[in-house]
Amino acid sequence: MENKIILLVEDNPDDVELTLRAFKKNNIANEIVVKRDGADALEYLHGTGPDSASGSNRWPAITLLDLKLPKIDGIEVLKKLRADPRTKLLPVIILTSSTQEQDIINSYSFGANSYVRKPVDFNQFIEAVRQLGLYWLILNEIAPSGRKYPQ
Amino acid sequence: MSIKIQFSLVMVLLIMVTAGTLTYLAYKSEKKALLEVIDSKLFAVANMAKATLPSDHHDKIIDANSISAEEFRRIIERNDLICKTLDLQYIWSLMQLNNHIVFTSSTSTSKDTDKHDHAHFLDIHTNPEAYEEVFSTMQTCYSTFDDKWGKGRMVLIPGTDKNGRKYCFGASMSVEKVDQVLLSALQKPLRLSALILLAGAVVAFLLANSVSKPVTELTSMAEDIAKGNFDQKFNIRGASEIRSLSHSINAMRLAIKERIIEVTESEQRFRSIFEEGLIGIVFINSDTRFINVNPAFCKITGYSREELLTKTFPDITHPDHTKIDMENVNKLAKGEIPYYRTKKRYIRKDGQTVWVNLNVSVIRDQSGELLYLLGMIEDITTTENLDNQLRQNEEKFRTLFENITEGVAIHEVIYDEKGRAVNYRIVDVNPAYEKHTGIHPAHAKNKLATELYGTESAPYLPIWGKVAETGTPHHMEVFFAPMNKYFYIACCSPRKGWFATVFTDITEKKQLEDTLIQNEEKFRSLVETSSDWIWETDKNGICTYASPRIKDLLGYTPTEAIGRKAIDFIAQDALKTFNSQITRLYVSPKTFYGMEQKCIHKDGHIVILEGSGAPFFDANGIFKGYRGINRDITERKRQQEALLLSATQLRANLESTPNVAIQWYDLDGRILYWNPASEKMYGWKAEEAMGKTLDALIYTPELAADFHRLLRDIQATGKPAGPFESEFQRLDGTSGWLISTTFKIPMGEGKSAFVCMDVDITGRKQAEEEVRKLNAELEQRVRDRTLQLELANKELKAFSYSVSHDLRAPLRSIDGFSTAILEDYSDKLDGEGRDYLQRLRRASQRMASLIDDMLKLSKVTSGDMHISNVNLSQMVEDFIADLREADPQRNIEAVITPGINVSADPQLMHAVMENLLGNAWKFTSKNANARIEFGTMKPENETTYYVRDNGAGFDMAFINKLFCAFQRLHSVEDYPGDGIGLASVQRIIHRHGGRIWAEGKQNHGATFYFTLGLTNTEPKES
Repeated sequence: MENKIILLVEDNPDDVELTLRAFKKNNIANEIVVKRDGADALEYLHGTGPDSASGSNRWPAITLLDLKLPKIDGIEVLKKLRADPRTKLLPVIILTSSTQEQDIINSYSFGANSYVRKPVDFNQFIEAVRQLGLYWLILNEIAPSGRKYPQ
Repeated sequence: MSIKIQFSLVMVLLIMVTAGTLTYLAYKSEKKALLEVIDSKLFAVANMAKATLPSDHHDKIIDANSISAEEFRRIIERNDLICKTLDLQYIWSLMQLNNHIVFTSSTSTSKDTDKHDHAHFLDIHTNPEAYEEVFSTMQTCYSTFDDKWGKGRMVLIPGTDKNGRKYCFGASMSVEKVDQVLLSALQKPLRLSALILLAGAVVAFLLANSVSKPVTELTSMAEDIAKGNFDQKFNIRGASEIRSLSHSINAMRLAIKERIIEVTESEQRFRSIFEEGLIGIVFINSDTRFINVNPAFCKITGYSREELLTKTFPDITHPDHTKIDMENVNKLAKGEIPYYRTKKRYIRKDGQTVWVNLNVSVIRDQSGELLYLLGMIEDITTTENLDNQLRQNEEKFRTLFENITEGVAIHEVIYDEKGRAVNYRIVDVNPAYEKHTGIHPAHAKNKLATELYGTESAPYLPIWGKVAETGTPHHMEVFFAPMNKYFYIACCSPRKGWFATVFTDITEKKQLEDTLIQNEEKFRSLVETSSDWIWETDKNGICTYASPRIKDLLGYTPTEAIGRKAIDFIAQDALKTFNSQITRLYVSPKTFYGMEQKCIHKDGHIVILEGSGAPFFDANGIFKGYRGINRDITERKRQQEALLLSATQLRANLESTPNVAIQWYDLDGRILYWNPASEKMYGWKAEEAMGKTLDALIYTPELAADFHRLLRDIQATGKPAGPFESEFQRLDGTSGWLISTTFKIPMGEGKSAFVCMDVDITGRKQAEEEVRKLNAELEQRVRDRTLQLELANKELKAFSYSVSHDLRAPLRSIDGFSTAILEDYSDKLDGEGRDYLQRLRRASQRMASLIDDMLKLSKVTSGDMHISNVNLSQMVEDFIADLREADPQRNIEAVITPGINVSADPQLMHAVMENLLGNAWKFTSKNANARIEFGTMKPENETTYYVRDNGAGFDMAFINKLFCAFQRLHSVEDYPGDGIGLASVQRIIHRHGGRIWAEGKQNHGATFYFTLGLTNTEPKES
């Protein structure tokens, strides 16, 4: 369980801090890679550098993706991930404060695996993260990632 | 009886006697021979019968049993066969037995039962006398019999049996058979004698003819002569004596003929003189008595013939002359003078004397003996006058004849020798004859009719002949074909055998008559077939002729009308006027036209007639009456009246129509009528407008030309034109707008008028213009506003989005880090500090909740609506069920009207019902007996839905705040809630075009009513 990487794409440092705290509070000790905008996130997933997931062949087990992001927004990032065979089957959980119907529909349309609204009540947020971790990191079997994906 | 017949009879008699004798002799010998043949046949048969019986047949007979019935029957059968074969009557045998003669054989009884009663064995013969001879002589006997067994010839052959008893056999033939045979015997001599008779008769006739013919001819010649036919000459052939006799008779015939002609002629002459002459003729015997007198003498003396025959001539002779008369008569009788002549007077029956010339002669017989005296008397009293008269008459007649305008022709009828008129001769013609016939008198005179007229027979001979014969005048009108002319001919007979025709050429008159008749027919047919009633009256106004049409017009037949006056047909109320009119017309006659007469039909209904008439006058200019023609104008009159009435009404309508300017135009656009509304609308008075065209009044020349074209189109198509809108000019120079409709109305005689109806729409036009401007402005404003709204909406959406994202993030930080402080640094904080952090967290959470509510509210008003059928009742049921499940301890009575369906957005309606029912649920939470109702009502057209509860209710004073967002009427502690529920409901209802309102009372429950717009006026059944 420790070797599974969690990718968090979040521009708000408060939210990053609180999210990391929530994981910690739930005793989830997996490595968490944080990307502050969409471009960085795509660079990490599709890039070839040594820091990139493909370069080091360290694919995140789950990606927590905010919608409202600088440079490239969350929906655009999702589309690109799903367009690339390497990240096509990567579990992507939309973690956002929007409850706009359009956002929910778009997310699922472009291949989000889950949509979680960030509650204002931090206790509720910790609970949500706990369940996410439980489900996606323990219960859920993910598809093999990286080059092993069928072309 | 003629010699011929006598001779013939003698000859025939002689021949008959000879033939009869010959025949008789022949018959006698023949009969004898035949009888012998018959007898010998009978003899043979009788013997045969005897031979067929056994020879001891009679010997063994003792009694009835001697021969068996069977044997006797056989005998009879045999005999029957013999009889039948030989055509005989009977065969039998008899014998004397015990003093009777009995049958010992016979023929069948069945042949002739009623007569044949002896046919049983030993039957006793009932006529024994017939056998006396044979039994006494014992010789064969032949006899002819006529008894009860019939008539016939029989033979009897006697015999004696061994016992010495006498018997005999008989055979008979019926008389018919005998006669038949005898008749055939007679035929031969009869044929012979008939032949002799015939030959004899022919010879006798031929002989008699040659002997008697000359005699007969002589006889008929003599008879002919005796009858007075002397013209036929006879040439009789025959013996020389007869020929000379014939010559003598012929000579006698001629002599007699001459004599007779002489005698007849003198007799005729005498008779005509005696009967018809003007000279009196008398025969007187020697003692002066009248033997005969003629009519002329009767006329002279005034006596009738019968009266005179009882008188002597001295009886009527004037006494002055009697003596001399007697002396002269005596001298005549003695032969002293051959005659005498004298002038003397007779006394007429009427007492007047008459002077006569008397001439007396004597007539003696051949022996010289005086037969009678012949007196011839001439009336000289009148001779003088008569001559005069005759001359005068002749002159008068001549003058008349010469000067009469009619043609006169005198004819003499020509008779043939039998006295039949065969032709006539024109004796004399008058000068006028030529004028009428074209034949010159000289050419006509003495011509026969046939040659003058070139005809086969004399024209009208039977008629004229009859006139000439009887003297009865005749007149006739004829078409005389030879001259191709019509004549009126009067015919009389001036004397017997003559006739005179007085005739006039009437050809022209006739042709005139024909023309007249034709004209008459022509006019009659015209008059009688005319649809009008044609009539004639006399000078008093009495109808003398009525054409049949009166029947159709007034119901009377012409016959009924004739003799009546026009006034008889006039209606009561029109009498006075008519009477004065008609009286004037008959006082001073003059032609009149179109005189209306209100009449009464025979059946009582009113008929209006229009009469025209002209007086007519006789040749002298005297007024005779009127002729005229009456026409039924009832229908026309009625139409006229109706037209007048409708015209009056129309005019009144036109005049009184206030706002419709009505004008009538002719085809050239000239104004015929201009109603008061037109005056008002255009400013032109009717009298100014009449006769003008519209270019002079209200239209520009271009518009007037358009109008003129319009009229032509209407005239051509017959279709109304308009309504058209057009600008016009008023008299005062201002302009306006009108709307106009024009149509054609027929005015009769192919002419039309055009009715134009205009309404002034200037005001409307102006209003329309303003409205148009306003609309344009409004549209622009709406466009502007819409644009603004769209922008605002966009901004609002963007705002909402940023609110949902961006306002929440800080709140999360506040809450998150407050939690972090509380968790990580609680030991460094006192209770108050922790409490502040807790307040911080609550506030941020509350704000997050408010943001969510605001987003929710905005979501209600944005977004698209998807209308479909929604079952509200079911939705309510589901909610109640959910609420009960969520709050199972609550006891709620729910009253839900089932089957309420609406057309609405299902999600939005879901929100509405969730809010309303949630509220009801919430505000009844403190009620022990909570009740929630859902239903509909329909106060007007709009179906109203309601949700009612008996919960906390509200104060109607705050009703204004009820539907405002974030406004609450109850504390959150009592009834939790965010304050946007009813605001959302109201927005949703408004979006559906409906209304929502509430009624309530503190602690007495609340009712929320809503409608869903006009698409849901009717509750729908699921």
